Amino acid sequence: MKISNRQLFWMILMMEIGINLLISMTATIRNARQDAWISYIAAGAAGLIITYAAARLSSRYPQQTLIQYSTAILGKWGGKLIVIPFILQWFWVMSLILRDEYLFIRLSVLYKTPDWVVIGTMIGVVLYTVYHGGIEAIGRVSELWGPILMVILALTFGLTFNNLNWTMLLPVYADTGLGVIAEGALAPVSLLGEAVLLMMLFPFVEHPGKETRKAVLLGVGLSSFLLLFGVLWVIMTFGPAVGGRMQFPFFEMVKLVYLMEFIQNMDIFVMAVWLVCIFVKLSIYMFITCYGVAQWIGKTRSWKKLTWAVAPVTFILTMLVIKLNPPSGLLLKAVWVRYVLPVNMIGIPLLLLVVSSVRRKHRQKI
Amino acid sequence: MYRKITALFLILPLLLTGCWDRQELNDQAIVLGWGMDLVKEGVYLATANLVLPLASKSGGQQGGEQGGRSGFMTESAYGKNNRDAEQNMQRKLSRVLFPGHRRNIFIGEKLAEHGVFSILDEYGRSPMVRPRTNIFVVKEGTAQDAMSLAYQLETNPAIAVQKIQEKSGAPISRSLLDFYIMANGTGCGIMPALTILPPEVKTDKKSKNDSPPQTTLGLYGAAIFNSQLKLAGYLNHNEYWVRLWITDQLTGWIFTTIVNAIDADKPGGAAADALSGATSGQTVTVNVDTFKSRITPVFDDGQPGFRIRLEGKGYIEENDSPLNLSKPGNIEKVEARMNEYLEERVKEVVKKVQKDFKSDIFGLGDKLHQFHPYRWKKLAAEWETTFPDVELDIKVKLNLTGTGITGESLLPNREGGDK
Repeated sequence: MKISNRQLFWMILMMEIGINLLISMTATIRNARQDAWISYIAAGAAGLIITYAAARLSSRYPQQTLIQYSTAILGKWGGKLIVIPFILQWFWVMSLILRDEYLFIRLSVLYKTPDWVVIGTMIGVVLYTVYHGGIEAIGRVSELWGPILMVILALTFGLTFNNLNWTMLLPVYADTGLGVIAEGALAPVSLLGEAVLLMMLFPFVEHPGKETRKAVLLGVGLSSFLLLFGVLWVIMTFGPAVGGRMQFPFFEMVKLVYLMEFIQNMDIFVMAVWLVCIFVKLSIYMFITCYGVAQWIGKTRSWKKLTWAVAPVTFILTMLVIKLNPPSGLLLKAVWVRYVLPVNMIGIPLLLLVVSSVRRKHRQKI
Repeated sequence: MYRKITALFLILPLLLTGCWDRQELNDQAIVLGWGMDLVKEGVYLATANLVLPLASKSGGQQGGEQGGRSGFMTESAYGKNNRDAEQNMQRKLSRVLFPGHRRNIFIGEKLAEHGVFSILDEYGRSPMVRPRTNIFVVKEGTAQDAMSLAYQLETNPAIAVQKIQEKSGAPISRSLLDFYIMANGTGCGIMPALTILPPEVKTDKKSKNDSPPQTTLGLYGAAIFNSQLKLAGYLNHNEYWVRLWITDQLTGWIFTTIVNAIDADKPGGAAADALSGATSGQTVTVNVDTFKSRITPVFDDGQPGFRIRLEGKGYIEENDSPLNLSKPGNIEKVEARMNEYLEERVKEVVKKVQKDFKSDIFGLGDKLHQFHPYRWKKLAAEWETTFPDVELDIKVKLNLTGTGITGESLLPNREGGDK
């Protein structure tokens, strides 16, 4: 099971763009209004720093996953304990993405199809991919669909160009201020920061090292760049007030495509590609969850068997989330931004980085 | 083997239960237009304009009346709001109402006066409705009146009004979205207004196949809403372009003015003559197809004001005046005359909006907000009371690039004209 650096790049790109386009925009625009694009620039920078730290850490242990090197750094018990938040996060992310996917699909296409069918089929496809293909299949899918995603996004930006009104971006800064812009950046950072899961993917890359770090950073960089375009387009199309009230402003914007009578209703293409993004993201998460849990309990070789446990648990969790139905915005704010971002994306990687540096120096002294 | 059997058993229930979202075309009643009227407080009358499947099959493009059948049908129902009325309407229909093609929404005048806040929510919320929806106010009428009128050029009056609006130089297919955006800006809104027009001259049918002018739907202009989203008044068709030009949305318009004398200093009668409408005379018509508007906020002792520069590019399409257009100087005269006329006209309409409607439909407050955000913070709260007295410095500058395919008229002699 090996993937190339290029495949890793596409994987990170697709993973970052899909859900970010769907759910982070409203929160950011609501906070930072017409300056949301500044928030996105800040978020992109922060995302790059987080990713760099994680990549740095991983390249010290190029043959090991996070689960393995955490025990190498902190000792057996410390290492096992510190990755628990990650394992929880992975399950949590999968059920949330599936829930959002279901809500979006129900709203846009399938009004009457029961939730378990929409979710079950998606989990089925993901399970199949992970079980039979592992990380390799995911890498190939992303390599195939990534460029198509780029073309569709470019077309979307091009075809909605005539709806733009740049004065909607004004006034810059005067209405908001530093605090508000930073607050707006939190939502996209918390999603861009998900690139830290590369700590699990690192050993699967053919030649882990500097090139891998570059590929990952490029993936995060390019996705924040595209997201920046996305948010600029949304603000210039709808204005900050309407944009901040729509649930999925980017997709509403695509519905506005209307050129020469016959180029319209582009949304179905975007939706199809978006679903592929969600599929890639889910598969990556499903894979690292299975693999990570297998390593955590010390049975790395039989990770495939764990898929039969992880998939049903995810299914049940998702159904639970759908039943409880916590609002996405609240989850993004209360759980993601408050706990996952500081603990899983910044705190733990940083702690591991610092401890491993100290140890290394210590060893050199002896 | 085992696996295959298990897989089969897993797949079977999916097939057996059928498809949940299946909706055959033959079971749908496609809604092309939707109208809302206010009957009394809290009671709305919804009207749906439905495609008649049989008629449109044979009728094709011609529409109207095909074999004694019109190409559409209108159905209506009372209700507490949009969806409630839709449900009440459904009980009269053998097919499921399908609002996915509902691109045109009509609002009766009474409802507009009462305020549109109560009904506009659904159009932004329902995932079935496209954001490219057009919305219209029916002046001096109800939505139902307008929607039940057969329109001869199209199968369906709901389609006709959309096309009329598109052809009249206004932005295409986004009046609902623009309304939402405007209502969030300085707080007022504008919608295209329709009216039912009886034929100007009544002509009787002399034989069976005659087609005399009939009562039809037409664009009246624009309906202006105040910050409570209640109807404040109308701009008629000849005032509507002023708003479009100032907000930089106009794509084409034809202007006609009067040029009587051929004095070198005076290009025509006074602007007032041409504007009053009482003076008729010899006319020049200009087709303008490129428009530009520049609004610059200026401050005089902290009092906001605006410099509005309107520019346009076009050519002369008709000249019934004594001017000989093969002389370059005369084109400048037409230009000067036209600028004078347009400027008066713009000032008149702007004043009407300021004094009568008190609604900032030109987005001047937004301009202040965008370019002078810190000053706007002090002005924002009182903008509604400041706007009617804001000083506006308006200049119109047309650039006439041609005179059609002739310079001089093809007719040799004109009354009072020079050679």
